[in-house]
Amino acid sequence: MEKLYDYYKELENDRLSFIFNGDVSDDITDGIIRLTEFNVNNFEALAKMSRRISFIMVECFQNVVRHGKKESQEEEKSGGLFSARLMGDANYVSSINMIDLEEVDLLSEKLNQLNTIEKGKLKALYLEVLNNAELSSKGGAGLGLIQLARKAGQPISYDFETISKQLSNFYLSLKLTGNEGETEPGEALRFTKEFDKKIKDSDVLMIYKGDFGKDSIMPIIQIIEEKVKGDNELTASKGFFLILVELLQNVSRHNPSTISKDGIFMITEDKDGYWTSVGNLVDEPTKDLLVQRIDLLNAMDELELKQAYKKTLREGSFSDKGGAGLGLIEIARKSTEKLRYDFDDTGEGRYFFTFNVKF
Amino acid sequence: MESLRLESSEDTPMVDFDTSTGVFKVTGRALPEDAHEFFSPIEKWLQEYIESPLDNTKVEMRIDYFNSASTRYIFNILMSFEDIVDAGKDVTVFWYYKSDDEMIEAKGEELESILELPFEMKPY
Repeated sequence: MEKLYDYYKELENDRLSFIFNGDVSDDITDGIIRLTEFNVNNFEALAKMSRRISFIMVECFQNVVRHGKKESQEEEKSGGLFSARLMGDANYVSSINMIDLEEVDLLSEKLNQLNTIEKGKLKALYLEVLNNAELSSKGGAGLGLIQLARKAGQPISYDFETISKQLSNFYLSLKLTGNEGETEPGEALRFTKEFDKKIKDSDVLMIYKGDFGKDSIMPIIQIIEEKVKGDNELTASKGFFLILVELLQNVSRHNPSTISKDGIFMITEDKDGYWTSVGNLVDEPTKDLLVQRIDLLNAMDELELKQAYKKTLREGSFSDKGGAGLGLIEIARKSTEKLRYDFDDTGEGRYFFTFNVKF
Repeated sequence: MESLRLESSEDTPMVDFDTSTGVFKVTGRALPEDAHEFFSPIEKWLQEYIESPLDNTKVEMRIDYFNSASTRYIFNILMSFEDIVDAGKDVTVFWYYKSDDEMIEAKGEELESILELPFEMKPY
């Protein structure tokens, strides 16, 4: 199983990371925009360009939908990946698509043209393509890419990677800052490519790192709800959705500092189900309490869990007295395997707590 | 006593406790992170209602989702209706659930088994 702490360390300096691996659909765009707008608006240097970032994300995202090869005989997974990361004073937006190998040359030429054209001429090009539908037929730089170049005010980083006789991975990456034109060509991709590729080739379906307050959790829930709707296996268990809520809210409940509600959340695919993992930093007393509670629940069978649930409901919280709270009991009841947890010592009396639940 | 009405939001249900008809409805999803903030005004209102309840109160629970924090409050609210029954007035809880929604059905059955209240399961 993928180790959450490893990803956490890699994304440690991100204020926000959102990576979605797999079939992307327009349905989840709204949730992603809400999630990033909330986080971008919390950060002064980027707040003024919050709307522009949303626009660019949508274009980048829909680009995945538009160019992505949905039905590939050679690959099990369809090729899309979308990523948005807020780091330092920059926002990185990137994507990977699988495209037909024969599209590569033309797309590459168009992107190069967009990166070298004088900025003032982009509008003219946009109008030209708008009035000439043939130019924007599949394969060339359509209106989406031209708009992307116009709004980004930065070069579009891109790359291709042949993956079979017919298919190529199309990497697209943008670094957005408050100041236009300060990004070198290729800079964004150097930052995003390796990590994006690693995720794409892994069993990870989604990673979110950042704030776990209400304003972030609700968009995540919205994204997953939309995603779950399209997946028959998952739709079958409404419990999945509910447990996500418990897990996500659990992070903010068990944070040592009341100011920071940071954590990381990941969904990974397994051969017979899904693992959802959440992680956050806890202090030593919280660690001891969590170990005690989870071990207690893992030792119970289904009936004992049910009784513990009713007892807790009827008698009120005994979670301060060493028992588990309702949320944890609920999670234990819905999980198809025993709960797994890890604590990694991060020094200074803090531990990174990973909690894995299988559905 | 005046009716209590709270509009629904993304993570809280619509609450409509109508004292002119005696029909008390809770409709929607209950997933608030801070359940106390949402439910305590309702509990406060109910404390007052219990002092002089109507002869007949119908409680219609029609909930899609709820988190564990809300479960406790929903349970507390339903438990407060036990006091009205003890005072000799009629209260019936109607627990609505989609006929294929096993989770909400199971939740209803669980609540029914620990509450001492007339409780009707209503698939739809």
